[in-house]
Amino acid sequence: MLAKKYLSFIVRIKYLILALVGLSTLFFIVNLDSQSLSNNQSAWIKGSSEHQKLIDSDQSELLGKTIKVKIDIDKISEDEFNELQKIHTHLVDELLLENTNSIFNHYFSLEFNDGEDTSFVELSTLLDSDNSFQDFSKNREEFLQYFTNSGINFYIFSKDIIKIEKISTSLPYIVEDLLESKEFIEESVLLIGLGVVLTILLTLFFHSLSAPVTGIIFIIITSTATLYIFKLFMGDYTPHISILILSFSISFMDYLYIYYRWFMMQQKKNSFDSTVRTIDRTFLPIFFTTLVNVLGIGSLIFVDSEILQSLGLMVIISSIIGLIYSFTFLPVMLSSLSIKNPTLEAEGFSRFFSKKISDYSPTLLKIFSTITALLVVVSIYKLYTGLYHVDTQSSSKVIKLSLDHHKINVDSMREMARIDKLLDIDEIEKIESPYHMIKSIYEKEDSGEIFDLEKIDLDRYIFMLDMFGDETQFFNGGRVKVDIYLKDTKTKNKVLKIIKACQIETYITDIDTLLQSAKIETINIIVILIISILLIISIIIFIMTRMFLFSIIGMIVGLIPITWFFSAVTLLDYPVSTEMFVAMIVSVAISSDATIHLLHYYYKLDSEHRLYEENGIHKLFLYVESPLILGNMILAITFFLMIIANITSIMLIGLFSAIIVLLSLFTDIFILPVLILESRKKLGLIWDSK
Amino acid sequence: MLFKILFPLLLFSIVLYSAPKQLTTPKETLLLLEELKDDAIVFGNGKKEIHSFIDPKCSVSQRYLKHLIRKKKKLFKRYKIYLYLYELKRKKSANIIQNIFDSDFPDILLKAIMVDKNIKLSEFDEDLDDEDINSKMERINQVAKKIGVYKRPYIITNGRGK
Repeated sequence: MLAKKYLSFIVRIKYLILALVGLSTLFFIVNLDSQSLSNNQSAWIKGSSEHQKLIDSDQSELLGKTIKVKIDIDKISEDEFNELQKIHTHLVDELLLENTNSIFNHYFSLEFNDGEDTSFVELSTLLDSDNSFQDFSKNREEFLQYFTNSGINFYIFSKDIIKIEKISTSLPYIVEDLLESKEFIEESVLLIGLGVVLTILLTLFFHSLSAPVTGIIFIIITSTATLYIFKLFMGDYTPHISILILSFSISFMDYLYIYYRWFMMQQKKNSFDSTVRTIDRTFLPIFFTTLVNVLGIGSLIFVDSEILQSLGLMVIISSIIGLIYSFTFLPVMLSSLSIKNPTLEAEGFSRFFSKKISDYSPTLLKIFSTITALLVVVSIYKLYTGLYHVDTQSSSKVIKLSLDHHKINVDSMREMARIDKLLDIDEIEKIESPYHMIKSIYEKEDSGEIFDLEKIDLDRYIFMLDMFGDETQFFNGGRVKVDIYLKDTKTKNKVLKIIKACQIETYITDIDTLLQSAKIETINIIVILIISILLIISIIIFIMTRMFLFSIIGMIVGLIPITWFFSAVTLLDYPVSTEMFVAMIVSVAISSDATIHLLHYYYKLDSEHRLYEENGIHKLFLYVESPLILGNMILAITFFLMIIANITSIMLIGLFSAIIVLLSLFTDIFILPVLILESRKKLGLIWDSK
Repeated sequence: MLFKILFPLLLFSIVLYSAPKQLTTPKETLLLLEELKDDAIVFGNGKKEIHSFIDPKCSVSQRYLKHLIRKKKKLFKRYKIYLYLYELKRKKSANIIQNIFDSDFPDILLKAIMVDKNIKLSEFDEDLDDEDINSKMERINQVAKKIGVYKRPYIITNGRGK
């Protein structure tokens, strides 16, 4: 009744609504400069605790590049060695990249003597050496950190953007950028691309042009309004690709639930009545899902990370805009349209699935539940212990740290010694620090003696470092530096965890490791976020149904796809990436929609005593599962088609989102209804008219 | 059984013998060096004191001095480096040492001979037989023997040498 009054009202002022929406959209489009969407991974760093710590201590992050030279290290000739030296000289002397770590400026100790009564241990570099090739050949174990299976690496770090165009050398090489992605896409291009795919898919599914037309109009008006308002808050901030995709998904699902219900109603009712019924049936679930998104994902605006804040803000704006337009503009548009002979395969399709679900096997459910419970345990264990590695597209083997010490003294040496002891693990290739240089001199001077920091005369060795060393090799931004070389980039997370746990004030200075650290932090935030969203879903379901058991079901259903996905990723030792996090949030947002819609409809059927009817489950499938399946399939195909964009970040978001959306769909089709039936059985409410 | 007891003892003695130890405590060493400071060639005026026994003809001592001179800007500000010219018998450098001590600018001559190597050593190989210089060299020899200077360069910091 209320829905009818409301629709009558908005239909009366429909020209006003259409004019307002049309003009505002025109205004947004005119004033919205299409920007290149950022897919630069460094966006994840801003606001992360390690980055903030670095800024607070007046230090700046070091950008990085790695030059990988292909060469057979075991059979290296003197000429090839000289070519390598030319590369180093080119980098340091011509390109002025002083912060280059290579075999040529790496300090190693050498003993000189001229008879038994003379000896002197020096710290030297191959650049300073009189016989560099011989010294290199004799002391190869000193340079292991620069060797790879296929050659030798030069690690370059700089506070400024590193420009390396061409190196004149006969040796084959590649320059690997850390974080500087050159792949960009205009937001308008991405939106148009998504729009075209949707048009095709909606036309195919609904056999009608009204679906793509209304869908595209709806997505254009919601997206432009969302982007414009977002930019009002964030200024010139370039949104990350993922943010736009999440916003797009939320708007699209709102549209689909409404359009599908309206479309189905066209079989029995006229356009106006179909719209009234649609508003009546979809307002509450869409309102509740908006509430979940605003309170859950929107809470990211309180997180100290620029990208997560913008993600939260974008979701708040797009959810609210979606809700407003869904119940103002969309009903006005739909009430003035009509579908002749609306046909969907949903009838037969729903009957097929509802039959399968009604005959579900409790044994299979138990097996599935047991495996899922095990995977939850595995996921929690992996998350807790940090046994996963984070992908940063082109990760560096180096961790550059600086200590909160401006001098090499007993205190700083003790801290370096502690780090050294804690990192005495297989994963570490080598650690370079003043402590290691002193240790190296000591061991050469006193062969056989065990190095004990508390027993040595430290002043002697500091004098030697002053004599042989270059300040830039010991200090970074005035602080004592420690460079850690890993055998494999996969172990960076584990090593970072050890460093963080050792309670020594350290600063991560290289951008690659800062990104790793930020991503680990992000994972923790997203885990908390997902738990919060699931809790909010539970609360809302409890408010809707007043049944604690259904709150738990809502939570479990949201957890299943993420758990399966995350445990598969970590068990297969696949690197965890930001794109996965985005896909997980998309999945939570969509599955929260599904759960709320489904349980709301179930509750409605139950409260009207219609679930006891033979076709109760069938109705559930026809009115809620079908748009859900349709929406998820369209989103999965759209996401999957994003791989043709040939831009790494978009491809990965597309692929992961498609996988998780399909997992969510599987859960929503096969697990959620079965859990509802099982819980009814437990409560003794199973309908007996079957 | 006897072997089990004797073998570790034998090993311990070999290790003890093979690693020459300083003969004086750090405190005694510093006291001895305090009296010898006037006989040293001094570089730098920093707060921390470094004492080194070197032989001008020893190539390894020359490397040491080369490093000191190369980093003189930094080192001479932070450290006061006392260089004691102490002959390695096999190098037969006593006459060179005498000539360096005899110079008005021993530091410059020392650098010219050991680092720049732009001076013919034969020009400074004359036996000067100067009593003051000989007693200076003798004082250095005496202190070096008491401390147990067994190699060149022998660098002492905080009374502990190697």
